[in-house]
Amino acid sequence: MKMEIVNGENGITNVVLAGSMDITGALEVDPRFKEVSQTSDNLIVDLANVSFLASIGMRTFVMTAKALSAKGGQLILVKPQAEVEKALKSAGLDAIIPIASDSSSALALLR
Amino acid sequence: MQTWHKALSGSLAEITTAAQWVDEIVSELELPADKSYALRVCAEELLTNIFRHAGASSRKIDLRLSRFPDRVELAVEDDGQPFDVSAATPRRVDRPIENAQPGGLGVQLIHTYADRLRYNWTGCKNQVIAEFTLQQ
Repeated sequence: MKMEIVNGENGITNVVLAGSMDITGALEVDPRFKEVSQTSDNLIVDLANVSFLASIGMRTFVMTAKALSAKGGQLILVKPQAEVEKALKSAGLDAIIPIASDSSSALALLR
Repeated sequence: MQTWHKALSGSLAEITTAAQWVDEIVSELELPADKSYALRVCAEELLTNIFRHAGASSRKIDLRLSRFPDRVELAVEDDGQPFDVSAATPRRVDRPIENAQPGGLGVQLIHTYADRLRYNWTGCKNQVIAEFTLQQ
């Protein structure tokens, strides 16, 4: 799975994921999420090119969201594909991690 | 009825290969997008459960996909420790975020995406059958 990290302004880091966040993909990116959650205050994660999300990938998102929340920050997921969004909601992640339809909406949530 | 069968070990590499195998067959079956995704989720989560929790005793996994006129069945059999996923309590992530625990969501996804779930312990093997109903 591909993970691109772009440091933005005002303590916001943009992450773009691509591929399948199955057990293999999730294990690949989890260490990088741990690292970026320590160095950033807020993360906006673009899911437009994530075709699949397993529970192990959701685990990474929950741990990242908790780490950011503990220091007053936030994780926001952006542009999930329809089936990925359905999976996030079925697990209840939308109750603790905001899901935005685009980057502008995500930024608005952080203001 | 069409049936596809794959035998594998519980290694991460083989589980990844098995998930790809499921993907290829699902493409062949030309199922609706939601059913394709549902099958993929259940295969991934059932296999991941075995990989993470079956213990050192798990050596053999058998996957079987069967296409019937009104449904597709995914059967997963393994020789790990007994675990009845059909009876496991599904759970969603807790709120607020301070209370959220990252684990246990796989069972929730399996219960959400399978239209029906059956389990049998043979005395030495777990057998799980996830059913996906097809519109006719």
